[in-house]
Amino acid sequence: MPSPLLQIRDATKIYFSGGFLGDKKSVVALDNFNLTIDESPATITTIAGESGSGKTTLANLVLGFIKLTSGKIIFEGEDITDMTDEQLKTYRRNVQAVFQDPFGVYNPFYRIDHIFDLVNNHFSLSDNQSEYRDMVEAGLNVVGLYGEDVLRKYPHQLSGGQRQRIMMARAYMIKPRLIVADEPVSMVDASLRASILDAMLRLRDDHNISFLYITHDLSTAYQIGDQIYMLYQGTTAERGAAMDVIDAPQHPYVQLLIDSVPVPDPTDKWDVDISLPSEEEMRTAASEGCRYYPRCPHRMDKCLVAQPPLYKMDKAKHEAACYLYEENEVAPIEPPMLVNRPITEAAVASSAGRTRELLVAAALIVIAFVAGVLIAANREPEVVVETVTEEVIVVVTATPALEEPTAEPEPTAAESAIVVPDFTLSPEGAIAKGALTLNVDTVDEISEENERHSYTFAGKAGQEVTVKLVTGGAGLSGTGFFSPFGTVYGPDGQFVLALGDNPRRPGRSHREQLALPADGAYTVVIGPYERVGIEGYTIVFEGEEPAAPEIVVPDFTLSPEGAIAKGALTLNVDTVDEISEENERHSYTFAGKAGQEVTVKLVTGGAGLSGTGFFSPFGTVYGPDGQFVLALGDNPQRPGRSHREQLTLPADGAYTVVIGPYERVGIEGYTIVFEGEEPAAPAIVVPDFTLSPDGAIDKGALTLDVDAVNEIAEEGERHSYTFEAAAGQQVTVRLVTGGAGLSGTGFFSPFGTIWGPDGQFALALGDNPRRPGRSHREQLTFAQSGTYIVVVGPYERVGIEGYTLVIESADG
Amino acid sequence: MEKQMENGSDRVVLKVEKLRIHYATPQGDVIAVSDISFNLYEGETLGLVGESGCGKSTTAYGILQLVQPPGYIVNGSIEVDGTEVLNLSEEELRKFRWTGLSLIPQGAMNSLNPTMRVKDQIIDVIESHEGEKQSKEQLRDRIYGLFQNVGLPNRIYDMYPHELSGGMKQRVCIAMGVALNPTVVIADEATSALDVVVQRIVAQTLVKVKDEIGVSLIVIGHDMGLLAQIVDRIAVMYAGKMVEIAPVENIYAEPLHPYTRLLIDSIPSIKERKPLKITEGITHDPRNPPSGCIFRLRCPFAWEHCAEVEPAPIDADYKHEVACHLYDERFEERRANAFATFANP
Repeated sequence: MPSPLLQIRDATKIYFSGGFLGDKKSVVALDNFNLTIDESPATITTIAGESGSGKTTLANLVLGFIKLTSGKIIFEGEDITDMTDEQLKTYRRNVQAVFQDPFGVYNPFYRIDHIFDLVNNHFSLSDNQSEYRDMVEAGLNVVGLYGEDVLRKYPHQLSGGQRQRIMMARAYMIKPRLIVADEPVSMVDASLRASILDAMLRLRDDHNISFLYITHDLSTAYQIGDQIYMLYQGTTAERGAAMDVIDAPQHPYVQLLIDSVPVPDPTDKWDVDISLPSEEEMRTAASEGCRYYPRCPHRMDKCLVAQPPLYKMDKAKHEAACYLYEENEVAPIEPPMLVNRPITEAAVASSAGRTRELLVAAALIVIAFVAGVLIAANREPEVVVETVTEEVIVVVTATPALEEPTAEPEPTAAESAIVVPDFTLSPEGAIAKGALTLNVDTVDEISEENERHSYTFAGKAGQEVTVKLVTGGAGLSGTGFFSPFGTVYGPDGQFVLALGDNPRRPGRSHREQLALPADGAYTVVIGPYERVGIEGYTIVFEGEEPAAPEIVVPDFTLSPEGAIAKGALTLNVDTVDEISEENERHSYTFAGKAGQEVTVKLVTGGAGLSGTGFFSPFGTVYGPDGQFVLALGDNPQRPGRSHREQLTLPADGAYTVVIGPYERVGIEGYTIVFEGEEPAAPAIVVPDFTLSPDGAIDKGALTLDVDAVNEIAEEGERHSYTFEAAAGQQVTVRLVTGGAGLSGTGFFSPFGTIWGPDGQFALALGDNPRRPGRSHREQLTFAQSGTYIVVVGPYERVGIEGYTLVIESADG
Repeated sequence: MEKQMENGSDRVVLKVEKLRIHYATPQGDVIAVSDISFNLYEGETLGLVGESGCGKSTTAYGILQLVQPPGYIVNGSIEVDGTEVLNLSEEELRKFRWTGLSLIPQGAMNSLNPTMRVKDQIIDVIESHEGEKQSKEQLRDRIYGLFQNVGLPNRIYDMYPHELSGGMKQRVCIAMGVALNPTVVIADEATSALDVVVQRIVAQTLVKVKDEIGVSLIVIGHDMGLLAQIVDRIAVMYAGKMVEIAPVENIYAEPLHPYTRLLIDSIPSIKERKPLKITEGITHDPRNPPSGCIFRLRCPFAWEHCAEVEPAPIDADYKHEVACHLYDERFEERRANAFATFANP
């Protein structure tokens, strides 16, 4: 009998969301889930289900990113929750991850070979350079790539399929036993998916690497999966061989799911219209009974009493949790393993040390039996398997059953209408706090920039406030869709007002009357919407009665999803200073001197990706002329521990620490300490650029020094400026871009254009193709007299992170 | 589900001719959409497919005049019921959107105002085009009618978007898209973010509403399975060119263009395990498309002629055009040989 590689036993994960005023909600993401993956031969185990079914929770649990509420995850006989640091390191080596987004896990600053260098450093694969290079080449070949084609490229130069295969090659080099692949093909074009699936098959068949393949795409599971678990709301609805389950689904939910996969045959169309029950019905689902009850066409009264166990189906090892099959035998808790393929040579070769494994296997049969008895007696079994030298010791104890955490029903519509911003930024575009207090009785222009941030103002209950909004760009006006870009929240966090474009008149003022509901601080949060056509905004709050002005300097500004915003805290690098312990995204500047030695200590909260060999970058230090100085990330070896970097500053001037725009798994906050070797005079430097959403470019300190400079717009993702010029006039255009751009790659990162009076193209603005972050100078002679327009953006460029543009009259 | 019109109408409601859209870059323009022409017939559902970057969304946004700089329309003509969209002023265009042309956007989840009730958003659409002449009751009844069209319960009238599920929000967007009886509705990957069951419900809603209201529909997507279920014709795009447009039955039964064959072959099946067919994506630099046929660098059948002459659309069947030299009658023998080799490698 094959012994298990991975066992998941009675795994339950409950999320408690910290509601406002102690109003806690809990969501059961995974409910007494059981799974087994055998040691050999390697298999691809698919976990499928709709969103909210618990499949990603399961992946994160197995990867150790989150912890179980109850239950066990046992890998090669060791419970992963009790592992020592040393064991955890081995575990991380044995269990590798391939993520959904092949862009997100690559540091865009480094070429592909750097990814492999990191792997070598973390896992000490080889000290011998030529041996190491052979390993890399072998890994790439396994996934159908060649070193010469990819190693010297940057991530953005590869296709999604190639990037994902590099993840597979990287995982292969570490020789894990298991790869957890969370939707590895969902962001890749259908026509390119086959290459990734093929790489998975090769790793399975030729290298005995098993997969936990998390997906909602049943067709790929059908093509390559061995066994499949169909999850519904955290429970297994059906499991068995992928082909058996998909060919002949037994559970009513799985039947509906399979029937809804569109068939690529216009002569075989859906013959029935389906519908879902009302939201109320879904929400009142009894937590005791079958979770599918509200939607089930076959529901019976007994389905409300208790959750159905898995019953055996006709085909071997095919099981479904539905009372329709009550007359069948109840399946054992130990999930069946399905091996539909002959054991490959590689698999046999790797099953050394089989005796010990057989002992463990035998022990586990005993455990399963005892556990079954205990469960029957409503006792929570606690099983400890210890391996001491060659002996296998099995300890089974029983404790009273844990009280089933009662999942409170989801709030009704009326209750959930109040949304409480907790004013801390979550990685995916949530809300951040701000601290600018506006005096609502003065007309005040808050912002003309395309940043996302927040402000607060003091308001009084019943106070009448007029909010005037003017947005740039046409927005979606007249389409009936709304381009929201912000929200006003009240003192206790309730929605007060949505800020958006004028639905009728693009670019016109949009006025809202607002009677403030309570005394206290109101927060205006801009973002994190990404809207079509909104290119900047002005907000004016006019209050009817005066409130005491209280100006607070904003300590940061919030960026949109993943982009960067500016801040204004100046650090004295010779003092130890805790900058931040919060998961915000912002930037700071400090003054540095050329040659100055600085120690940077980073402490990150959360486990990050430490020990996985992946790097969780969350920030960057840029030098005075915008060049890349240092990447800030989690400690690759020790999660949550201090991470120290030595840095010699390359030039005099203002350094900018930019936090973000990475969205990282597991980073939950950070502290950065800069310690300088020699004192530098503290200088307050206002960052002169801000970044716009999603890698697009924002404005910089535009110095227009042509005869008459007329700045017409400073708004938006894309903005423009105009200046007057005479025919034949010569100017010098100097550009300094932040970030490395694509310099040195031979690619150009354009981010703007200069157009002449009748719209003809005059000049393209881009990064210096040779020297990243350096000034790029262009001579320009104007062909015509008239108004020239500088249009910047909205390009999304790799590596451009701000710019300064100076146009100087050559004769002036 | 009701079968679509057998032969369809011959009345053209949307005529796109030589539409060309570029993205300006300093090294030269990236050709996103390259002189494509097609007709959309009355009551028809047309699927627009192709891999990422093939220009299908740019085409749709071009038709709607929503191309964002640095993208710009180089040339072309877009006629909706005889109205040349490209000649409309900004003001006329805004009026025309939603009455002539409407969009069901990709991210329905984020296209609704989170702090406005569903009813207010739909009332806004109606009033912004028709003025505030209707009574509350008239508007409510009209919106209830729209809800019924898209299978939404009336109780959501007073709800906020966050109280609705993803599928319901997507159906609110469909209701808004058809609220003013537009001639043409463009649905941009309207179901791709949804789970398979919800996707089916939304897709079925879309087709049902289309049939009831009698609009013509362009569905942009990459899921060939879903398109097989809901569209009448499919237009296949590759690197900015339209390589084939054909009735859906023809496309799946006998794809003509080599790229269409590749697309059909790479559809994953849940009926039959097949060997994986591995392909790479678009391989040429979009600023420098190859001479002749756009697909020749990846085409298993390409010969010298393909590098010299760009294939023009050839009428292969009723409402079926293909841009491939193999279907030029001069090369009939070559075609027979090529496909024989392909079928028995």
